[in-house]
Amino acid sequence: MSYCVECGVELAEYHEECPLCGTVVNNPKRTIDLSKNDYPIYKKHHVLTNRRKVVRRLVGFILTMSFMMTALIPMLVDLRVNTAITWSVYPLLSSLLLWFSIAVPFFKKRNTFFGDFSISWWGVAIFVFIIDILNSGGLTWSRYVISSMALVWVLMAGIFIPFKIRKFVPVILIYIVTAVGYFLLLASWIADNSAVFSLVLPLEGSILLVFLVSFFLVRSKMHGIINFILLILWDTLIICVLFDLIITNYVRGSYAFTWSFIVVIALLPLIITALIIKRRMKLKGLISKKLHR
Amino acid sequence: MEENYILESDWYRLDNSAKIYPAIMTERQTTLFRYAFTLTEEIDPELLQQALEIIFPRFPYFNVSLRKGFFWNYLERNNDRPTVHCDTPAPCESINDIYNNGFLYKVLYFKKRIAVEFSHVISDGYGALEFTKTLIFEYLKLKGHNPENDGSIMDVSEKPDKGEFLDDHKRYSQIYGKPTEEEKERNLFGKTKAFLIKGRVLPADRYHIVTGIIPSDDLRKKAREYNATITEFLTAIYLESLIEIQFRQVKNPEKLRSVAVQVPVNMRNKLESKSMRNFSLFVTPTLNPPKFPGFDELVGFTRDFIRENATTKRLINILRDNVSVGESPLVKHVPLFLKLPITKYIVNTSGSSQHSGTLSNLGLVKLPEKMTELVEDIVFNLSPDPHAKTNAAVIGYNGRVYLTFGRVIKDAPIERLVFRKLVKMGIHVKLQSN
Repeated sequence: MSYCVECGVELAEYHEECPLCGTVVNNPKRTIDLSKNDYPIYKKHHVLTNRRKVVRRLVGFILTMSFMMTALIPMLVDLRVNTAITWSVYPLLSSLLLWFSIAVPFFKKRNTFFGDFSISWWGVAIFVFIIDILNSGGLTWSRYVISSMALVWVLMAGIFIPFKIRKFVPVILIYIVTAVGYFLLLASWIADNSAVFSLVLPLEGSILLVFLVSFFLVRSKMHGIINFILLILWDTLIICVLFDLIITNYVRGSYAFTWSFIVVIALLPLIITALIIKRRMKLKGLISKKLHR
Repeated sequence: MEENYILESDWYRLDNSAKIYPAIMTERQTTLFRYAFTLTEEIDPELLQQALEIIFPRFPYFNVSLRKGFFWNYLERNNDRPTVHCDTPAPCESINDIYNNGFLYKVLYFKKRIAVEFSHVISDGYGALEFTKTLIFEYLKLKGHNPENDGSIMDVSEKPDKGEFLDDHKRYSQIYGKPTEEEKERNLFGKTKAFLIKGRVLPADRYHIVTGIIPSDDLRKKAREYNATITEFLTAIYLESLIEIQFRQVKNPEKLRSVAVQVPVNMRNKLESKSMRNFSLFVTPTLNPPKFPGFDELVGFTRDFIRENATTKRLINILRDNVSVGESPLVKHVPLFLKLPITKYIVNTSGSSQHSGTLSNLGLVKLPEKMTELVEDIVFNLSPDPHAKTNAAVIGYNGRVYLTFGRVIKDAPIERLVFRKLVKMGIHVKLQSN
């Protein structure tokens, strides 16, 4: 046993220095045994989520594999039937969007609300952009959506902007410049296009509606990783269906399901699997047991 | 009829003490306190999970999630399953709803140690200790040790008693009625600010714990020399250390502040109660500058203060007054979204600056004989306090007193002074730390 020469207290076998005064233990008769610690040892970059790191990576990996499969299987079927990638590009894109929005945050060391929001937000923007390119051969209706999303993102960034930047650039200035730029851009497009009311606003409205419903669901009732995944899958499905209806109405003049049908087919197995896991306590228990550390 | 209603209800009101916690809960101020039982052998997580599953239906009032109503937060029955997790380097880390299935308590294991962390929203030290003792008892049973229950452990086969669900703050305030103006013991406003230790604050994911293991006979003998109890004696040492630190940190004598230590009092020792929810109050020995006495006088002051203020009559007055605050129409009918920030502001400005530290003595823990052979140590620690920065928790078990300090600052001035003083008095102290 060792004693602190300054404090006079007896130290534990794992103490390299006195926890009270920091005096280094200098006892030639003993070896410091860190394995006898009473608490787990702090790691250099210990964060609150540290113990969940491995579980998070595992969840991220499982999600990546699931999305990869939902992208690959339709692509292989398409290649086999049509000997080219035709319709399978939609499930591929949807899976990519889901992976970007859901799986990527699980690989991040530290999640922040704004960081995760940005990933999902720009993921949707890129998705919309590619869909537009594929359908119309150029940047047509998606420019309204993307520019509106950029505006919302800047407004959000103003709230979460780090103090270091805020010190030099006032948030209000960023807001004014962005708002003026956005409305000038919109005005120049609307001069020969009336897509704002029939396309941009419904798309924005549908995103807002889904976001609000999800937000209140999470706040009021939902907890648990399975509910969380289920909600994201469900939201993606609803957004895709709503987008499809609104875009088809804008392009063809009537509502119809087109590409969202493929997204629904791709997502339904995942939703059903999550629901089964949620319902079956034994399976859920097994997953908790296997994933806990 | 009422009994069935309570037992079958899927939601409960927060008890009167707990109402304040949702407003002040943050990643730093987690409101979690912890019991850690060190056994003689390595913990088997699967058996611990089984033990938890056996006991958790016996404590329905703990199997709840915190929800928001329009006027008050409330506790909703959580039908999910609590799971055990591996312990973390920093005790009392904030609860993650997704990770913890929405429960307000955590069961953790590490090597030979089983730790249970409880949010003050659902219970105080007494309720949590009963839960932890029952868990350890069932775990040891599953391990094949078959300890005999001498009545000190709750029986999991029994149905929970209606009294265990009750908010006894409210019950006793209804029995004794509202306090008159003279009887009011309100302690939130109009008091001078207490000294708060200065120091480099650690990030929210760090919480330093130092436990001093002290032979209880030596400590009791020393306390008796001053005609004081262990709580009174340790509070006096705590106060003296705070005074010394203030003199060191505040050079201008005009800026010296009062030094005050909150001492929780278990109301179950004063009034008949079966409640497993919060049922404790505080007395706060306070010394005003510039006249800080010597140690002998200090022990006398602390002893007299605690004995005068921890009388049943005074505590009932505090209890009645505390309940009357929550019952006043101004508080009762204000929506929660307004109530929470206002409460947070009041607590963080007026409330938390009225004490320089907390010393909670849970008393002696007695376990069945066979269980005592299998449980080596019991450590109790309080939740991180970002205002006072340090706090102390005391628990007695098997001839030893475990004095645990928790701090959110880098340096350990209080622990250093308190333990050095004890050593100087000839009391042996052995340290554990994270």
